[in-house]
Order: sequence, then C-alpha cells, then structure tokens
Amino acid sequence: MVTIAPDITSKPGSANNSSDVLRLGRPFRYIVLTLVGLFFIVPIVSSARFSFLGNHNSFTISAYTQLFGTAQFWSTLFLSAKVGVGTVFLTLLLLIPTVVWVHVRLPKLRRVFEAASLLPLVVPSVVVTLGVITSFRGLPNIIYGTPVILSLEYVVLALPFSYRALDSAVQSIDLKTLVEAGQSLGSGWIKLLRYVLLPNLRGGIIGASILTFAFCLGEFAVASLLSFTTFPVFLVQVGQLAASQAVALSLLALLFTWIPLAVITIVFSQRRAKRSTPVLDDLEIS
Amino acid sequence: MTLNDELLDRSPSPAGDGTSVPEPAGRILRGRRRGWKNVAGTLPFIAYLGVFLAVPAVSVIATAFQDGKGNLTLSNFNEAIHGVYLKSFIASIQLSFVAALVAVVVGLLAALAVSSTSNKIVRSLVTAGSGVFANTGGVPLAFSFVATVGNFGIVTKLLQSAGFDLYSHGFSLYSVTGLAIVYQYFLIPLMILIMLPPIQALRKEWVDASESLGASRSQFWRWIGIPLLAPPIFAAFIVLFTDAFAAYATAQALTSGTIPLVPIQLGALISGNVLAGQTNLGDALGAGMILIVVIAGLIYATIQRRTSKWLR
Amino acid sequence: MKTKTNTQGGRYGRSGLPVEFDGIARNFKDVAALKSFNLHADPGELIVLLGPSGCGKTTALRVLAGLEMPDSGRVTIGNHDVTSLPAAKRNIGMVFQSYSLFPNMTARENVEFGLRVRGQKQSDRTARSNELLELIGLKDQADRYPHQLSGGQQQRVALARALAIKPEVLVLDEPLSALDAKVRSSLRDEIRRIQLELGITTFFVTHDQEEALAIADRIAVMHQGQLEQLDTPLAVYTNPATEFVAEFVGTVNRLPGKVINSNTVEVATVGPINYAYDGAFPSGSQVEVLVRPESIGVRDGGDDTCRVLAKSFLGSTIKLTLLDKSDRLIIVAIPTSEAALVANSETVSLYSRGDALLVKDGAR
Ligand SMILES: Nc1ncnc2c1ncn2[C@@H]1O[C@H](COP(=O)(O)OP(=O)(O)OP(=O)(O)O)[C@@H](O)[C@H]1O
Ligand SMILES: [Mg+2]
Repeated sequence: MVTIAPDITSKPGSANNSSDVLRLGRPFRYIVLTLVGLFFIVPIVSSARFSFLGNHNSFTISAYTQLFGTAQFWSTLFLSAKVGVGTVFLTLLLLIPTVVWVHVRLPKLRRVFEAASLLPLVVPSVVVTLGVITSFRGLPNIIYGTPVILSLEYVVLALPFSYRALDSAVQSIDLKTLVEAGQSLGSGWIKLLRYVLLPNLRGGIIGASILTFAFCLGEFAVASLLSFTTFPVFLVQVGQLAASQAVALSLLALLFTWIPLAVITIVFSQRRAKRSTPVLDDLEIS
Repeated sequence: MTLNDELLDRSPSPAGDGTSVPEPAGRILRGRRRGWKNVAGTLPFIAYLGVFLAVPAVSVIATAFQDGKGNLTLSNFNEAIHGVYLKSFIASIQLSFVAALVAVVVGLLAALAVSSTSNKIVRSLVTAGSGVFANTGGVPLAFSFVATVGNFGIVTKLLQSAGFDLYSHGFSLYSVTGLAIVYQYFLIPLMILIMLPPIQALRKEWVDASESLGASRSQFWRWIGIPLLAPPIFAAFIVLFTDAFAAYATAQALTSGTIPLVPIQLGALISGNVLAGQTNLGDALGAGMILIVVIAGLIYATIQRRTSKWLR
Repeated sequence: MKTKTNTQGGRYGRSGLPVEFDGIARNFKDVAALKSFNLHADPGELIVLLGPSGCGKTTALRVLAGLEMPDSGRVTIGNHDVTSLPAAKRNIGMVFQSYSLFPNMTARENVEFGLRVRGQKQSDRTARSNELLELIGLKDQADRYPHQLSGGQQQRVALARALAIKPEVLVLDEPLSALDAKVRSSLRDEIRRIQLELGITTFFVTHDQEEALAIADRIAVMHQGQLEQLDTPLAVYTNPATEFVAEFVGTVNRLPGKVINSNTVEVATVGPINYAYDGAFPSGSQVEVLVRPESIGVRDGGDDTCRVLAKSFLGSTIKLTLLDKSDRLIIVAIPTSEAALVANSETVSLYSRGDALLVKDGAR
C-alpha cells in the first residue's frame, strides 16, 4: 500500500532526491488530510458562528461590543500582557547568555542542556503551583503575593519552547567563528553580544519571545490557582455567565496567538527552505 | 561534578574503531580545572531551574511524606490511592492513554499523507498549521469546542435538525470522552510535528535496495520502515501521554472542576474548594503525578534502548 | 569495434548473462531522460556508463533494475524479456552512491537481507554472509551498524549485500564517488577483482574518467539520453566516434586546418598531421581538427612559436599550456623524459607526433 521515495531533508548534492517520500494512494491522502483539516477548521468556524448568534438565530455583534465595554476585559488583558513582557525579558536575560555559553564553551553538553530545558515537562504545572505555594509561602509578599511570581514561574514553564527556539538559532549560525572573530578584533563580551550575537540571533530571539509571550497570554493553571485574575482566568469567569461572550473572547484569543505563531512558523520554515534551495529546486521537477 | 565528568567522558576518541586512547594525567587534570570554569557561565541557568523548578517539585514530594505537624507519614499516599483519588488517577491515565493513542494513529496517518504529497503548499500549510495548533490549548480551546459540540453548539444543533441528537446517544463534551476529543486538537499537531522529520528521513535508496534484493513492499515495512519509525512513534506517544496527563486548563474550563481527573482534584485541593481530611493530601497527589510522568519516561527510555540500538 | 568478452565464468562456476537495452525511452514530465537508448552487454563484461550529469545514466540503470518502467522499448537479460518484471523478481544486485545500507541492521544483517526475504534458513544465510564478508574483507566488522563503519567499509558491505543474492547482473551507480581518492582506487580495483572472479555482467556508473578507463571492459558514453559510443577504453580514447565523445573523454585541442590529401591535414601552428580519411573532405577544404595533447610534440626555436603560459608536472607527463601567435590556447602533454626541452624556454614550436582524433567541417 505504501511506497517510500526520497528524503527532502537530505543535504543537497546527493543525486536522486526528488518526488515524494511515500507514495500513498491519492484517495488515502485526500481523505486523511480532509478529515483532519475539517477537525481543525470546524471548531473555528463554529466559534465564529456561535459568537455572532443572537436570539432566534439572528446575527449580532453584541457579544463583542459588551466585552470591549467591560473594564475587566482590558485590565486582565493588560495584566497578562505585563506578565508576558516581564517573562519574555527574564527569559532572554537568562537564556541568551546560557545558550551562547553552551555553544561556545560546552558544545559537548549541548544535548544535556537541551534535555534540561525539557525538564519542566516532567512536573505538571498544577504540581509546580502547589510546590510554589508550599515552598515560597514564607517569602516576602513582594514576590509571592504579586504577579511577579507568575513571570518567574512562566520562565520555567515556557522553557521547552523558548530554549529550543534560541538553541536552534544559535546552531544555525557559526557562533564559534563569530565569537572568535570578534574576540580577535579585541571586542569584549558586552560589545560582542551587542554587535555580533544579537543581530545574528534576531530570528531566534523573536521566535522565542513570541512563543513565550503566547504561552503567558494563555496560561491558566498557575494563574488561577495562585488567584491572579489574568486574561484566561477572566475568560473562564465570563464563560460561567455568558457563553457567547466567552466563545467570542476565545476566538479572539486563539486568533491573536495563532497569527504570530503562524508568522514565525512560516518565516522559520522559509529560512530553512532557503538554506536548502538546491534540493527544493530539484523537487520542483517531479 | 556530573557535568564535569560528562565533559571528560566525551573527550575526543579516535573515530570509528571505538577504542579511546588513554590520556596523560596532566591533561586530564588540566581538563578538569578548565571544565569547572567552562560550566561557570551556565550557573545562573542551573540555579534558576533549581529555585523555580526543583525546589517546588522537591518540596511537594517532601511534604507528601509529612503530616500537618511535619512528622514522617505515608498516610497522605494512603488517602491518595483510595476512593475518588484512586478513581481520578485511573481516569486520568485512561484519558491520557486513549487520547495519546488516537492522536498517535491519526497524527501518523496525517504525517504520512503530508509527506507523500509533492504539493508544496499543502506541505507548508500543514507544517505551519501543526506548529500553531500544537501550541493551542487551555481555555480558548475549551470554549471553541463548547461552541461546536457543546449542549448548544453549532454542530450539535445542526445534527439535531438533521434528526440526530448527539447528547441522547451518550455523547457529552463535558465527559472524559469529550476531553479526549478536545485534546486531539493539540495532540494531533504535536504528533505531526514530531513525526515529519523521521518520516522524511526515510531514504529512497532503502526502498530501492530492498526492492532489488527481492523484498516486497510489506517486507520493506516489516524489516526496515517500521523498525526505523517505531522509536520516534514511541517517543511521540510518551510525549503526548504526559502532555494530556498534565493538562489542566481545558478540563477545568470545560467541566468547572467536576470531572474526576488528578490535575482537577489537585487544583480543587489547592484552591480550597474541597475539605480534605488531611493537610498534605495534595502533595501526595502531586508526587503521584510526577511519579507517573517519570515512569512514562523510564518506559520510554527502556523501549528506546531496545528498539534503537543501532543509534549508539 | 572489437569487443572483449568474458564468458568463461568465475570461481563460483557461473558465467554472466548478456543484457540488452532495446530502444528504451523514459520521460519525466517534459524531460526525456532516455530516448531510443540501445546497448548490448556481453556476458560477464563490465560496462562503464560515462556521460555528463543528467544524461540518463542513473535512469538507464534503474530501468534495468526494474525500479523505473520505460515508456517504450525492451530490456532483456539472458534470453528473457524482463521489461515488465518487477524489480523484486529480477535478481539484480544494486549498489548506490551512498546511504543505502539499512541503518537498523548490522553489516551481517544487511548482507543477509536478500536471503532473509527469500526465506532461507539461518544457517545457510550465515554461511553465505560469512563467505561474502570474507570476500570483502570485513569479517571482523560483521556486527557493526552502518554508522560505525567508514564510508569505504559501508560501500563494501553494500557490494556484499548485492552479491549475496547471486545476482544475474550487478549494477553500481557511482559507488565510489562519496569516498576519498585513496580508498576509491583500492576499492575500485577490488570491485574489478571480485567482478572478474564471479564473471558477472556488470554496469558501473562513474564521473571519474580515470576510473572508467581503468576498470571497464567497454565504456558506454552517453549524451542526452542516448548512447554515443560503446567501445573499449582505448578505442573510446583514441578513436572517438563523435565530437562529443572526443571532448568528453580526455582533453582535446580544437585547431583550424586545411586538408592536404587523403591522409594529411595541415593544422595551424602545429603543421601537418595524419588522419584517417573517410572521403568526406576534398583537398583544400577548411576544417576543424581535434588533436590530443600528447599527439603534439614541442621543440626549441623555430619560427611558428608559442608562448609557454604554464607548466604543470603530472608525474609521467608534463602538461604545457601554450598560447600561439593567433592567441589560441593549446594544451600539450610531453613525456617527463623530455623535460629538458622546456626547462628554460619561454617559447617553443610544435610538431605532430600522432594522428588527429577527428576532422570536422567548418574552420573559421
Ligand atoms: N524521478 C525523476 N523525476 C523527474 N525527473 C527525473 C527523475 N529522475 C531523473 N530525472 C531527470 O532525468 C534526467 C536524467 O537523470 P539521471 O538521474 O538518469 O541522470 P544521470 O546521468 O544519472 O546524472 P548524474 O550523473 O547527475 O547522476 C535528468 O534531467 C533528471 O533531472
Ligand atoms: Mg546518476
């Protein structure tokens, strides 16, 4: 039933890497992709329809106008954004030096650090929250009692995404040569960071920032269990009162996280494609 | 210490024959000293993980073994594996297992289908879509399913007007089954993302070689295709399982905390909605969750070592 | 012209089968990879397919192996028309450029794969894989996985795997091109030794002319999906059938000339050169003459002199890059024994010391 053909990810130069990887029957392909595609599109379309649904199937935008008129909508959104910005800032401050250091000084431990960045997956965020409550209860209110604690924890919880984004960005440039070239020209670490590393890592930094920020806007467990009314927590409260408003809000939230995510995914895959243009050009023949 | 040992362990050995040349003692000593300095720049990162991940995790585990006065006890666990808590552990594991299994199958089929088109638009659409949807989840996802197949969802009503009542046929979005379906929304894309690279790494030459050696298509899959894809599939399953197991927001938003799943029960204990008999029961539940994730990881490591010995 | 055949068979008591491509055409969308491609291989001979990239060498081999179906034409092995036989039934051993070993199997398991799918007993398989691993000299590495083997070792295993099924035809598509020069020439000789030993009809694709000249019984020069010439290495080199072959195999100088009589042509700067006359050109016609570098000799002095632009020492020969009075580049190869001739000279004059390769119409 299934046939395999060549690898598109392979390096350019190996000769016969055109045509498909698996020659599954056309019907199979269409059926699978259509069904899966429907599964992902129907909820979005339904949400849109639902959010505009007035009494007796009429069309109304009242769900949206009411939301935008709610003070809490703006204040929770603002809180989430604040937490997000703080988290992004902390993440970059912590990770850029680490990733760069690992690549330059500990290249052999790269995998180890990558694995460490996945550790947050081992501890479910509900458990992290409980741990935060039990262990940080005694800390001064300024940390524990304010949303600062959210940012501090979100840095950890978003690590699997943010670390990978930065790591692969660093991987794709010849960091060691850049650093050595910079050093041989007599620039110190600060200047090196400012003029050599940051410009070259811009893509990875933007990617990590967007992923982290999106994570912060959507995070619910820690925020709600620590009793901070962030945007998602507000969303659940709305949901208990007015379903169509909650759906409208969800749709907005989804779109607002998807758009930047889509942009970085596309930008990243295009960059990857550009690097291997010869192969892809070959592919066009088939 | 361990980092440093690792560093020394992997000191260059002549490639190929696998024998390593003994190094003169002086070099090792120098290497060790330099090793410490090399690790220095990563200390902030390690310290941060320690404070904000390890400390909470360890404190949960430690507290789980204490009673309200700080004495050692196992009674928290005793409670955690009885009654509603046992049920929720079982339900959570069942839910994650089934949800992960379905997503593995569907995601694998989708990844195969995508890899077999030469249509570049479809490819990049699915890749971008997967990257986006895999990061979806949480509350908005719950509500968009409410709008779709909830009590008054658009699809529910459409089906009703077509003469089919979902909810009178045993379906409920607000159940474990409903959750398993909702979870597919982020599990399937995750599976696709994980599987695309290994599928695309299957080489044309292997098919051609096996064919010219007399193998049929199914023999190719039996001896080469499946053995090569099995390890990433197992890995993906474990990742999906833990992802589903730890998920809190979607279930909470969808069921308002009424469904017996471990994260939900634990959340209820934390927010004090439930009168617990024991102060540190929550910590026992948390420790149990960590334990299950770790077990999943160990199973994965074992299987991986068995199935991919050709990788080392 | 003459074909060297090898029908006596190898150590294993088998002799190769003749192979015939008969008017094969294969199109990929708008690319004609092969068009009316004809080639006949004698039993047990090693044919090297040579040609520029994209000329259809791989496609020809894949058609032979059954991995590609021709749009028209016939492939025969022995006396059997195998055109519509699936690859799995053709019993053809294939070696690819690289990465073709199954990564999840050890060297031994790779070698035994073809026998395993044929349902052979483990003991028979082990015996056969031992025999082959010995043949390629990798008995000690039998239990290594491909990534634990060097590139050259991997290609040996690939060869053993292809041979394990006692193939009727062996097909090697640039088997050495991913290896470094030294491994390459030793493995090339080893392949040739084994091929002679087994007496198996073999097709071998390479981009490396030296490799082609060294290993082939006959060379098939391909151009744009067609066979340009099929002949012994010597004949292809010294007696190219077409201008393309002359240009593609070895180096040639193109010089204007004037036909003097039925076997002499007067060539600019070089002087009179002999050529095999086929009656095409009347005396006095302006022609273009293709001359090999080694068919030109140099001497000191003279009036029609060339400037020496570069000398490169190639071991047994010295290659001179010269510029004649009309600013034409001429490449000359002289034996190292004549090094003294050009030791100090800035200018040399030329004479012919061999025949012209080809004479064609239309000098400028
Ligand atoms: N599967 C395919 N799909 C589309 N075009 C193909 C395919 N295989 C080969 N071609 C085209 O057919 C022509 C001949 O290809 P082939 O691989 O036979 O060349 P080759 O002589 O082996 O070249 P090289 O020396 O580079 O390996 C080329 O133009 C190539 O682009
Ligand atoms: Mg080729």
